[in-house]
Amino acid sequence: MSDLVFEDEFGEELSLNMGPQHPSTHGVLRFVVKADGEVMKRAIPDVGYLHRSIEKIAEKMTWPGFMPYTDRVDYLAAMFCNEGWAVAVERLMGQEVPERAEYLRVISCELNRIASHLIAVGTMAMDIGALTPFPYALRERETINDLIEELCGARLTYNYHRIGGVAWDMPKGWYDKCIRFLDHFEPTVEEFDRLITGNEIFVQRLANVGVVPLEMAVDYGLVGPNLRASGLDYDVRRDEAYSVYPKLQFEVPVGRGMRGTVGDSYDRYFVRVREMAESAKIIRQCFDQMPQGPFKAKTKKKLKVPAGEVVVRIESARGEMTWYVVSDGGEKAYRCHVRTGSFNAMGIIEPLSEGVMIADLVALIASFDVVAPEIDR
Amino acid sequence: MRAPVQRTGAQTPAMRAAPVLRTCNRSLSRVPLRAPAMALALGTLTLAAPAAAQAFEVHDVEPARVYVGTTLEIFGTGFPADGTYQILFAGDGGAGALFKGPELNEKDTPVAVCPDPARCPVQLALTPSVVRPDRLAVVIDRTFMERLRGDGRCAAGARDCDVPRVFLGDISVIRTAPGGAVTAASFEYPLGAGGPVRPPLRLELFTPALRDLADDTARALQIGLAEDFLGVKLGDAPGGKGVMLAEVVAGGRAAKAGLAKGDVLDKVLATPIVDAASFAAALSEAPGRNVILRIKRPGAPAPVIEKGVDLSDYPVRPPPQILSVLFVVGACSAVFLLFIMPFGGIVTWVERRVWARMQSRVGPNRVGPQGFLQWIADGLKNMQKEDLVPTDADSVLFRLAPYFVFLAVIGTFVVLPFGRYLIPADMNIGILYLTSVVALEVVGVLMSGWGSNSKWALIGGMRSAAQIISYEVPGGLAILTAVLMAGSLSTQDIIGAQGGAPWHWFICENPAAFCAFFVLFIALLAEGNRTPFDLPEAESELVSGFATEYSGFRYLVFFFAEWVNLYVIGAVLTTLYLGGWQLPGPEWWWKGEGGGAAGATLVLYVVLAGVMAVVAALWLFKLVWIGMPRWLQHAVGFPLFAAVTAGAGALAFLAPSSWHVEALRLIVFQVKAMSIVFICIWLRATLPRLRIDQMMDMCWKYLVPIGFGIFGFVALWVAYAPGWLRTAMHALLAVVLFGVIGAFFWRAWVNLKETGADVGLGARLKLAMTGYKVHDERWVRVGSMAEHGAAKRS
Repeated sequence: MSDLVFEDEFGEELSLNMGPQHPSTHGVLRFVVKADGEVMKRAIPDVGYLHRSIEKIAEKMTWPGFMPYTDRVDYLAAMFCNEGWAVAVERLMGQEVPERAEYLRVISCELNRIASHLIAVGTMAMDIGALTPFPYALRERETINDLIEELCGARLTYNYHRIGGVAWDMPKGWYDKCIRFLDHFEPTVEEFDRLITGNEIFVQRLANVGVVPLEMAVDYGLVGPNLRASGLDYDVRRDEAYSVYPKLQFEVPVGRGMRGTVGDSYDRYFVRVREMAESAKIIRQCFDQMPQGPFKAKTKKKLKVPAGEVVVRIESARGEMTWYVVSDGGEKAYRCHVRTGSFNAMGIIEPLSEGVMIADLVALIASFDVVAPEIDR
Repeated sequence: MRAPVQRTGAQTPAMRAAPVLRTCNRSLSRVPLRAPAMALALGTLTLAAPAAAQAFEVHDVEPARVYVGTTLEIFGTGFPADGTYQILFAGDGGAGALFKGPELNEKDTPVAVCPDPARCPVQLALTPSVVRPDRLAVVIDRTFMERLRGDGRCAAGARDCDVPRVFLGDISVIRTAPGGAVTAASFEYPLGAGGPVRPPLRLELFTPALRDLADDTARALQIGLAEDFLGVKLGDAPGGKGVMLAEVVAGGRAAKAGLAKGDVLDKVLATPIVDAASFAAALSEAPGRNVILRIKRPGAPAPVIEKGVDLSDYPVRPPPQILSVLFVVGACSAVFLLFIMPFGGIVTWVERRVWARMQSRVGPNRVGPQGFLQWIADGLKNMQKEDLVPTDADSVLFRLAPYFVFLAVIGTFVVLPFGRYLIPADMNIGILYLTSVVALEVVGVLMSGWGSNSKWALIGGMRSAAQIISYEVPGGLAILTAVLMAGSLSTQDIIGAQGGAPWHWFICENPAAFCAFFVLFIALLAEGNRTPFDLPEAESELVSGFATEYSGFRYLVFFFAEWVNLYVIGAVLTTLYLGGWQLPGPEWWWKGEGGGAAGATLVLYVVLAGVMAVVAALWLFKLVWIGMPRWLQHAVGFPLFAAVTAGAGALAFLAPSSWHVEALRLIVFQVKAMSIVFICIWLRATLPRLRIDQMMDMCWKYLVPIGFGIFGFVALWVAYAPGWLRTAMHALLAVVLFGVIGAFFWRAWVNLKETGADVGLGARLKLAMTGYKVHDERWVRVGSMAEHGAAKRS
């Protein structure tokens, strides 16, 4: 038993190895936790367990051939990675995209955002110890998976977007199914609130825990819902709009410190819940506005992209996803880099973890909604 | 388990002169007129002049509560086998109370069998026989019972004679030696008049027989040991003095020491030998190189010979007392385990099914009907798994820990009263014993946490220790509150002090008691590591907490204990605050005046018939499901239904009525306990987990002060609350209780309506029977994936 407790410059402390196999490090995260009993001194994230050289693979694959690999950047929100790659290559090429394709992209992305946020809030509740919201969230996500499966044939790694459009038009009857799902889903968000959001123990576990002030959030480069929870009203979809987002009306939920301080874990949770409702609104608008027409522009089979470089920003489920692509004029990318939200979120966990309890670390990890492959790529 | 008894002994000069029974000082001081009355009572028996008579003492009398057929046993020292005995029952106190009815709350005045002992001196005498030197026994017969009750119910041919009577006074044993000498000793039953009355221990009745069997077995073992060691066969000596060597094996130790066949041993060193058992006992107690055996050899020149044997390598074995205790413990625990196992198992199944339903899942439904046998499958599976002990784990602690936890939980069943007679042991410290034995759990959890050599397990163990020890304080206060209201620690007395109707339960006794119920509920949840207090095994934080490193059977033991504990939570709350097994309404309605088909029979009949109807209907629907022709369903199903129902009804009518009442009590207890279990499952499906500091805050900052406040309030209430206030409060709190329950069902109904489901009875029934939803076309509101998939494929 002597190695359980050891001395170092902090005095007597417990060194805990949390992960890469641990029930609440979804995927393969690892933290080395220095703790004094239940109170943590530090939790040091150790990344790299899911590194798959996706950026290097981009240099070896043809432009369209890389599309299936982008799914693996973030398997919970693969549609956004598809979108990022497609938009980046299109901008390099100066390729126009048919309007119907743009709407289909937005619909598929927003469906995926709902699915991803459902996982985020469901697992968050589960990590806090409430086991029921998770199956309810998964139930809704299953329906979305079914819908997307009908759209593109896959349930997780979609490979739906194409350079110059999307792979398939929506199938017959899909519109009705989507609308039926939205009719069902919008009240479900309220049901979810009744189920867990207002639960006093849940609030006590999350409010004022892991507070990220706005300056700190900006310093550490937080993006997306995590940044908005800290009080910054910023959304790429609205502020640096791409695709057809300028034509759509939606609100950007911002953390207001409902039950605690602005930027606490509860705000990060609540921003995601509200975003799901906004996504549902966006999908409805898309269906209303979507024109008939082609769903994919004609592109050459052997695609050559003019030399140049481009930076594309996409509002993924985990926040701003930046694609930096360099072309040397050939059939393959010269360099590709993806800057993802989870990587930055991992960085902020270490300073936040000082002086909080082990149970709060779990809440912290869950509230930042980090996904292992997105960190390591 | 009994309080120290007063005994008086032997013969004194005073008794010889005038055979007066000496009773204990307490009784004497309270009832100064007792002694002359007893003298009168004994007058007819003791006319003969006292001669030299052997003295004896009475130590204990069991049981206190007698039925027809009960064997009343009187324990004492050295009752001589000759002579005649008589037992006299003497009332306690001026009221002349001798026997009374079994209930405290029953407004049953004690049966004044003999209000004036002077006028009916030997009315209550029984003639026992000596079964062993230390024990007299007498069977209570109908005639005696009828004399106790005097209402004709125990007369020959009457059926309803099974309401027991509790003895409250003194018991005296008078022996008349063959020569006419009279010796007497008395025993005051420790529960005086007015004290708490304990229900009988029906299950305890088998232990004297078991104890005798165990004693005999142990004795035989010891004799065998002596025979093997010496190389002899022992037999009875003629005249009953000493032991005879029936055979002597050539070359054995006895043969070498010079003992021969036919020798009679009557002393080992200075110890006299009466039989083979005492010989074996003397051998085992007399180790040494040269132990002198005194032998009588018939026909030899010198009738008494002394031989030395070497006993220095006589095998050391546990003394027979330990063996017999082990035997009894082993037999009891086997029965006990078989009794408890289904509780834990069924609760796991209930939890998984209910929980799944709440989570919009199906849950286990493959093994057995509706997955009912899943717990057996899980148990068998776990037993087949490898039992891993981590490297560097403290192997002993690691291996022992699950059994401590297990012991703590099943130990509680000793005092859980499932019915008036269905209790393994009604200790007078019952609830104290329960809290103590439950506290053993923390030992096991700490052992597993420390012994696993795992940091997760260690943190889990520490959390658990902190949690269980902290919550024992408010939990103990809430238990004490119930004890305060009942005036007893015995679980049966606590139930006896409550009534059958909800307004007679302790939860409705006063507002503070109402709160105490919830304090106890929260504390028991915390002690049982149930959500929202499941920190010690918080999966998302500590993997599996203290059980992280366990596998196979030991893991099974941990979690079996956990689920048994879930049931224990329900049982304890039911016992302390929800009236236990008490049936609402007066006892006579349940028992019936004629003894046969009365309330209990009727209700039991309805319950059984209902269960059977559901069983048969389920079976029918299953037939529909597998596509059997309809005529065949009717041809097989209805006769089956009719036969089963009729059988149940016949059973209900044919069995004796007390069996019905007891069965109903068991049902009432289980329904209450399982309702609490359901609430625990519901909480688990609803609530997140507290953080450890929040959990500690809740205990020490809120529950402990509240607990003390409740305790103080209830103490004042018990002492000063006037009757009208109590009645009003009972009514008010009962309304609140029904309101809460009603609100639950109303809310459930509203939610059901909101889902758009068909809430008609037929639809709900079909749903329950088939497991399929009947509103496919409206899947969007309650839809599951299976339905959606089906819609897509079509």
